[in-house]
Amino acid sequence: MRRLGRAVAVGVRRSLPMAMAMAIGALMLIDFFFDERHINALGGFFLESAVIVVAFALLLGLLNVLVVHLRRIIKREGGWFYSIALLAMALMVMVAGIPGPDNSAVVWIFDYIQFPLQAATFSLLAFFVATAAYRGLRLRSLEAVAFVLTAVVVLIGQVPVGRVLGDVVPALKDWILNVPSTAGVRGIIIGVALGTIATGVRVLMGFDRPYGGEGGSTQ
Amino acid sequence: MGFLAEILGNLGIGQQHALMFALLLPFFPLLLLLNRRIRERGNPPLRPIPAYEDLEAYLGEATESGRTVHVSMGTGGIGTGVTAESLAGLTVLEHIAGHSAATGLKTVATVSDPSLLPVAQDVMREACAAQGYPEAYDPACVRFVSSDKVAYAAGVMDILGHDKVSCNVMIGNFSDEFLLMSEVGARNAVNQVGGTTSPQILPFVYASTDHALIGEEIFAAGAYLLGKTAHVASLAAQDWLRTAIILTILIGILVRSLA
Amino acid sequence: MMECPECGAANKPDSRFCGECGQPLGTPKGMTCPMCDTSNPPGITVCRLCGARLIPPGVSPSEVPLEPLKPGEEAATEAEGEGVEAVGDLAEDEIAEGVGVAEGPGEETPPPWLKKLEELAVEGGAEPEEGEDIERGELPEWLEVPPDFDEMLSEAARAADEEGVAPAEIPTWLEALRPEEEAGVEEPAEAEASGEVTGLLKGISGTLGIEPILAIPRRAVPLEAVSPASAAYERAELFSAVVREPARRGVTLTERRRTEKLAVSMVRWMTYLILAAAVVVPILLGSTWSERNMTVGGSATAMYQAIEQLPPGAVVLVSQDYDPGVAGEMLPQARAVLHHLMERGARVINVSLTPEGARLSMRVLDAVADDYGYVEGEGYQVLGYVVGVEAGPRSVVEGLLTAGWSDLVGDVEDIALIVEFAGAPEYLRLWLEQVQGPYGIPMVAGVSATADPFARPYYRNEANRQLLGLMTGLVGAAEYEQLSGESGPALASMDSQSVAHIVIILLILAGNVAYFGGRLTGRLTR
Repeated sequence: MRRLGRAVAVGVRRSLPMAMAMAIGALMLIDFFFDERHINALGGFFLESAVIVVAFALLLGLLNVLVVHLRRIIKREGGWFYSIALLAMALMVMVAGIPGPDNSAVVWIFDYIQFPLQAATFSLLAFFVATAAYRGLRLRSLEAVAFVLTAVVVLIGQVPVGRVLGDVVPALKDWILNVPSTAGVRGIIIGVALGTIATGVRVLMGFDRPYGGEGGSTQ
Repeated sequence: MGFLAEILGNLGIGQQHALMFALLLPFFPLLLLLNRRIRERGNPPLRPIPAYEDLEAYLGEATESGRTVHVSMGTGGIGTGVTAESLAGLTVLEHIAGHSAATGLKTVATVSDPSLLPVAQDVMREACAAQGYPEAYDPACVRFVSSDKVAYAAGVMDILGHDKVSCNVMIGNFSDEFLLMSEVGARNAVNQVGGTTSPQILPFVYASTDHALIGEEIFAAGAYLLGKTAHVASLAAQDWLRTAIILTILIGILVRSLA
Repeated sequence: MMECPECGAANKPDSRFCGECGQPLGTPKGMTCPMCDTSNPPGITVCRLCGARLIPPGVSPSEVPLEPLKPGEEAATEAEGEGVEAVGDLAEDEIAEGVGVAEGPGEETPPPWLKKLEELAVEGGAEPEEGEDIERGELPEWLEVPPDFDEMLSEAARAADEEGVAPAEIPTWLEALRPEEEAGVEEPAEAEASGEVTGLLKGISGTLGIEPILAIPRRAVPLEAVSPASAAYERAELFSAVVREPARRGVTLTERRRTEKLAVSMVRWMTYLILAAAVVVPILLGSTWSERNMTVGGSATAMYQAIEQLPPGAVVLVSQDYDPGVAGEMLPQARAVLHHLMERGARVINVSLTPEGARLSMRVLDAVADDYGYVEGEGYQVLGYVVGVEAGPRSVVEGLLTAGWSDLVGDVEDIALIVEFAGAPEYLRLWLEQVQGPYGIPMVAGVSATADPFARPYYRNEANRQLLGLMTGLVGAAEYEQLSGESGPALASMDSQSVAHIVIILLILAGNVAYFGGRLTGRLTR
């Protein structure tokens, strides 16, 4: 009796997540293609459930942040002072947001702390592009030569200064942007679409575990 | 043709959806057939992708030097439009987790979307359990940094700058903040492997990492790193369909030009 | 279900390769040699090619599980013989005769091997099998038999007797071994001393007696004298000299590394300073070169024309979908277009798919509205942030058409134009797929510079022009300002942008010069 129960438990643990993933995946696919009322309702229900599950995952994330930084503070690992600052600021914003996300304190924090920080960190990108250009665009191979030449042509052609050298550079830039660049992007997008479909079909057919179950099918 | 469109219309499928259906349907039988064939005849030869080959060397170097490897699975999550890229990042994490559970290499995985957090933790835990050391699993090896992409980049920049990282693997969906992270890694002479499907981020990947995985090469991780038959079969199925698409494009060009 | 020998995953019985790791599997129809990977037919024990053992010792090659041996049965197999070879030098035929541990009931004579052991025991000195060439050395003190050993033995026997073992605990086969009193078996007199007198084995003869001497240690053989070569002495002396030297600190090595690091970070900081100067200096100098020499591209002109052709009072849906990271490009675009729209007298409905976009655009909208005297609610309406990125555009349009979100719009035709500001290609794609395609509303877009390759095909597609105009990055904003004749922040930044681009090109050049120069000097110094 116990052995039977154990076998059932193992079977359920292995196959149930995969069976669920396959069933719901098939349902969502049918919902996307066909216009049947009941299936659409069911599909809509699952989509909403997914949103709710992800929202709860956010709670897990916050717990994880707490654990990681508390551990760092307790063990006095490197940078533990910054962990205290992080936890203190998180607490402050949470407390400020208790009356609601639209109250003045939260709005003030967004406008005068978060947005400037985001904008400033993103502006670092410009400097990092410069150092990446200095260090990374070395003419190591034939592809690197093509890369650098294209970059130079587009850089010059984009700005008004480029017109000074005549119309050649802007025209070349336009051709590069319209023909090879677009073609390459389209090719990559087609390949990525195929890969995405393959990933989904693998889970649908049970070849891949949907992460959370144990093992995959070995048909 | 009109007859077909009528049937589909009655079923509630629009024309665009019908085209999508036509692209999706061949995958199922192809995958089954190719899976069986590979089981009988073994893996077909795959073209070498230097990024995956060198990843093994980087992992070995990290293990020997006693430093950590950082894995980022992108700023997308599961349940978004970029689920497939995040799953590709998870496949790479699975491989690295197996390696680190077997050799004692310290792994730090960071996530931006919280839906990836429990899944990544599960991958690490399964890897430790498969090696027979379930107690070696440390839940803090997967860190949720921030939902905001820029804040996530800032967190990863800190890890790469201060945490004695020897190898940095960033495969998944990224946007412009990729360069922030990879530049810090390059500055600290970290071995980096990057891959993404967004074409506008690929120049950043190319310029600042040692090896770039372009577009769908990130979906090949299961076949190259883990050697799973199902993944190799799906790669082969993708190849077949890609050939079909190329033929369709060529035929379409001819028809349009001659008409 | 077959298990993979490499990774242990379960596989279907007729698979030849494992599903998890791709390694070949062995099938029940034969065995794959673990050493050389050749497949062998069933039933053989060593590999045909390399001779490695395919079956562990002690197992019959047949697939039928072994049955327990009956007493006296010949179970002579090669494996058996090999397996027990190491046990002792006892003759093989004796083993073949009777392997069974149990003796049938009624048998009174001990089996031959027991007899042999008994003889060995009787001989009184447990000679080891390789016996002849071992000398008996002198026994150490602790091995010598104490004089009162016999007394100790009999005391132990008495104590055990008193304890008494319940007869029920003794298994029957053991009972059967006990000699029966009336049989009167004669045992050699010497054997009496070696028969068991106590405990479970009471009365059974032929067992190993208690021997005081359990092992005779082998006398040590002196080693031969070693005479090393003279070179070995020299090396040994050198080694000991090196070991005795005090440890030297690697001072010079760390110093060099520190200067290298300093040089590298100097270069980095110089790069940052140069770029910062390239951006800041033209602004400080108040240079207007770009304003005078700005030429406008076709896509921006098309966008300008699309808005220029709007009748006064037309309702325009403006969507601001960007985050603070690209706000530097998008805000000047939004500003320039909103100026134009309000100049034409259009009525603006402002919406956003990102919360930051909603916030950021509010500032621009309010500032421009003040310039033209627009009043919120009449001239423009702010719907704010619409939740649900993936279905956002569709819900906006449906909300406008059916839910009456705005009084300005009642029907699809009421929306004259959609102006989309996309920080990332995905927002543009969502609007195109969910609104422009199905409803056919005219649409123009302003995108950030990195999203341009994605957006351009929609503009250039002459068969199905989904975008009537396209504005790219800060340059697009500057072009638009040039077209409107309205000088704004974009045009003012053009000089900085030009200089910055040139600086980056020079940095690429410098990087390559450093790279090739370094390789050249390396080659020269070699």
